[in-house]
Amino acid sequence: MLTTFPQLLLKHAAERPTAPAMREKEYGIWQTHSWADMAALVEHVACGLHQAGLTRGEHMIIVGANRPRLYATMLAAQSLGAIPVPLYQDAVATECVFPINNAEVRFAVVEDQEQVDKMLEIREQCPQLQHVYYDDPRGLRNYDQPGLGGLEELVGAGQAFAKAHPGRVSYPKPPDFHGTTFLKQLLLGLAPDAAVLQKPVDPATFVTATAPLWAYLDTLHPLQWRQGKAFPASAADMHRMLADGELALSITFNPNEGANLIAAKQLPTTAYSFGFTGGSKPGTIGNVHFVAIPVNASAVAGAKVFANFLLSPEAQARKADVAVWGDGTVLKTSLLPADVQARMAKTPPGALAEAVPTLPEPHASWVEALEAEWLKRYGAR
Amino acid sequence: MPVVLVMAPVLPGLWWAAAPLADTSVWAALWADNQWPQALQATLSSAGVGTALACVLAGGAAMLTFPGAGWAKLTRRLPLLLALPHAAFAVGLFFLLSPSGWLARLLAYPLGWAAPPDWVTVQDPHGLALAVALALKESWFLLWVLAAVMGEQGTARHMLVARTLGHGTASAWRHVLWPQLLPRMAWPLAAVWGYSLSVVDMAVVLGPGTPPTAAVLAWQWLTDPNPATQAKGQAAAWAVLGLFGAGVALARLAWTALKRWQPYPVGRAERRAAVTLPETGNTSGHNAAAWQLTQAALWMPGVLVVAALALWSLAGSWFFPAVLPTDLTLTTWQQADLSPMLTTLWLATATTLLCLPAALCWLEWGPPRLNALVFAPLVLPALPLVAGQYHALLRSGFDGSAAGLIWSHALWVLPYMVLTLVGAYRAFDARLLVSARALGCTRLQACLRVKWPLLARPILATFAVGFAVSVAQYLPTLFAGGGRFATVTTEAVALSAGGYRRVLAVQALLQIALPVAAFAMAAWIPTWLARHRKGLR
Repeated sequence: MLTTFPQLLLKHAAERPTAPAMREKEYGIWQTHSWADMAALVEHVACGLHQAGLTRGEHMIIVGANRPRLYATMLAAQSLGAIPVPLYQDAVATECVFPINNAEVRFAVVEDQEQVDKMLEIREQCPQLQHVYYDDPRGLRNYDQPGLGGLEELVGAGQAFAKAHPGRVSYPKPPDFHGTTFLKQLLLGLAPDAAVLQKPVDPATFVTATAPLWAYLDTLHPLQWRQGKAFPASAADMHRMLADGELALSITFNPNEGANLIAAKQLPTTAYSFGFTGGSKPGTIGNVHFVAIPVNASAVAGAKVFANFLLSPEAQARKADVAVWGDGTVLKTSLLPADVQARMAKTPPGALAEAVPTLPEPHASWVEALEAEWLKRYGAR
Repeated sequence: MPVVLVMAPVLPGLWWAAAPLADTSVWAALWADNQWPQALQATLSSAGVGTALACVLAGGAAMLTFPGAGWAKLTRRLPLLLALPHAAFAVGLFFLLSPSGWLARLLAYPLGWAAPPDWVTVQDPHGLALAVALALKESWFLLWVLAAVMGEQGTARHMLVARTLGHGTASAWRHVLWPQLLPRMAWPLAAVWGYSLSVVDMAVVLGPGTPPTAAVLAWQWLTDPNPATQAKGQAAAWAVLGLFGAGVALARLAWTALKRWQPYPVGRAERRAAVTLPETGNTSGHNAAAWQLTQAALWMPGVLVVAALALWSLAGSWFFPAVLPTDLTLTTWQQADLSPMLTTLWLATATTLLCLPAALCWLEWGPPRLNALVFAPLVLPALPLVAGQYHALLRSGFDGSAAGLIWSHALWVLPYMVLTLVGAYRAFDARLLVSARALGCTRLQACLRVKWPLLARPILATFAVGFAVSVAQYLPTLFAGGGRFATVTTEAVALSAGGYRRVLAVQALLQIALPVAAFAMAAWIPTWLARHRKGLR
């Protein structure tokens, strides 16, 4: 199941690019916008808004009649992880003040001169409203208020940005550990019935459970780094590419990884971490360390002493230190002495700040099946 | 015979390794694999282009600079370039050529790039970046062999005679020198072809990923826990061997055809006019330009690679598009893990020390007719040999042991040592040995007291070559060592898949430093030994 509108848009654009997505009358003649046009428009508006500073989780208002570009703007906001807030176009200016201030809105996209006038009227009361974009430029030629701009120019800037930054997303090539986990994470969200993933895999359920995953990857790959024809070797390789701007993101299991890499000067200080905390299925697959003693170990007693040392609060606190290793503790910190707790509680810059739920992994037998199928589908160009 | 000890166990190993191949379903599985056709194609294009380009580079450099001061300078510098291990060279080239690499950074400012260009410069689908790396690295090897062969054949005299008879330089090369030199270069060329086909460490760094080259794919399959996949890996390794055989046969056929088609290249009427027209003599200006061209093509890549590695090992923050690091620090060196270097040090020293007497014995008492057998590992693709060794070690229970690892390295170290020493050994003045025997020494005594001390310089050079070969071994270390011995080479290749460029640069530099140190010792010790003997200096 595809769960967001931008995902559905990409699916349509991939499956029926020339089919009509919207029709609008212009000078009395019906004009058609195809799915491919729509997807391109959304991409360019999103790139423009991203460049203008719209960030994930932020609210943006949209005021105007039901016109294609305003819908594209809503999808663009959603594809950045921002939240579009449509307001009635016939509301009087004062009625708009509360929603704008309540949601701390910085960005507004409006239809025409009438709406622009409203926004300018309430600007005094909404100091944080910095950017107002209009769809229809008629009558606005002599407006030179700061932060006012045309949607046309925004799309142009976005187009230039998209052209300058093609394919900045990828994932490590499975069977690399992180690459396979990326597939598992997608599968958890996309499988029609997630319960079957907890049982050993069998060929029939594998086909039905993974079909949406392959459909998703088929749409994702053309948008990826090198059009999904090549993949980074590992997550560490992705860190390097993120540092140089070759990619826009990287993946890790370690909530402290971003901080570690910044401390080691492997990432610029502008890097930040995020986890999936919103949506219908929040959370990510986590990673657990095991200290195991093989049955044929020659020094079991010594191994136990070593395991105890590894689990000691002192060793764990040192492990959690970004300057040493920067891997979070496995201990229940509330039971530890206060000074050790304090040493572990620090969230260094760049580390994951919010708590992300840990999702249960699919049954181990899925790993091999997923890797084999991935190599069969995408192992050769 | 120590040589037999090194060589013989590989044969049953090869037999065991080849056992699953009797089953046709293995071959069917190999051909049905969707990665295989493109992997094969990437291997063919990278090895083919790499070998051809190496020939062009080496041949071009020789034709441009020989005879002259440039040629002498070039051959003097070759050992330095040869000491640069393959893996370190590949890593350095990656630092230079990747879309966020040094060269792209140099272009970024004038072209106004804020982010790396979306160019496929390394890890390209056809393995062309790998081909360039192979071409550069192997052209040094070819030039080195060429210089040795030319020294033996008195090529300078032939050149002189040809020039007196009115040939220009190009004409002399074409009609006099190459027809003599090419047959002598057959086995080195085959070795380059075999190496390019089966290279893993360079291909992991610079080669394509979806799918990788055939050798890398075979290596991945051979290390898979599933026996069916392992068998597929064996089949792939033998397919690489088949490819090698096919290439050699094709080249041989082409050479025979060429000889038949053009038996007396200068004897034809229509060519006579062209031949007898003397070209304008080489001016010094032309020579200088030729030398600069050669230097730019062959010497500069080596220098740039080492410079890039050195800079990265000292860099603090250094993100695209900065041309130079924002700060320099010694932290990476201070925190460097030196244990792989120590492992490499004892491993290479032990292997070379064991192989040196073996090589001396072989040269002194071995049957010269069987030399081709000793040189076989140099020419054959390494992958099937390593697989055979691994099987032999598994059966004997020596896998993952230091002894097994040393033995596995010896298969490549020993032939290289024999190859390096054979020229000087054969050129040794036999009269000295006869005098020693006449004065009552046994043959062993004569060797110990006269021949080997007099050959100290080439023997130490041989030692350095053996050391360098052992340092550079990747596949044997992984397989025979059972993954338990981390050397600078395995470490550099493993780190190349990661993103920590500073640590990677340090390991690559350590990998360079070890052979360079060995070569420096080989140059310095004989001088020190001969400090009281004017004639030996």
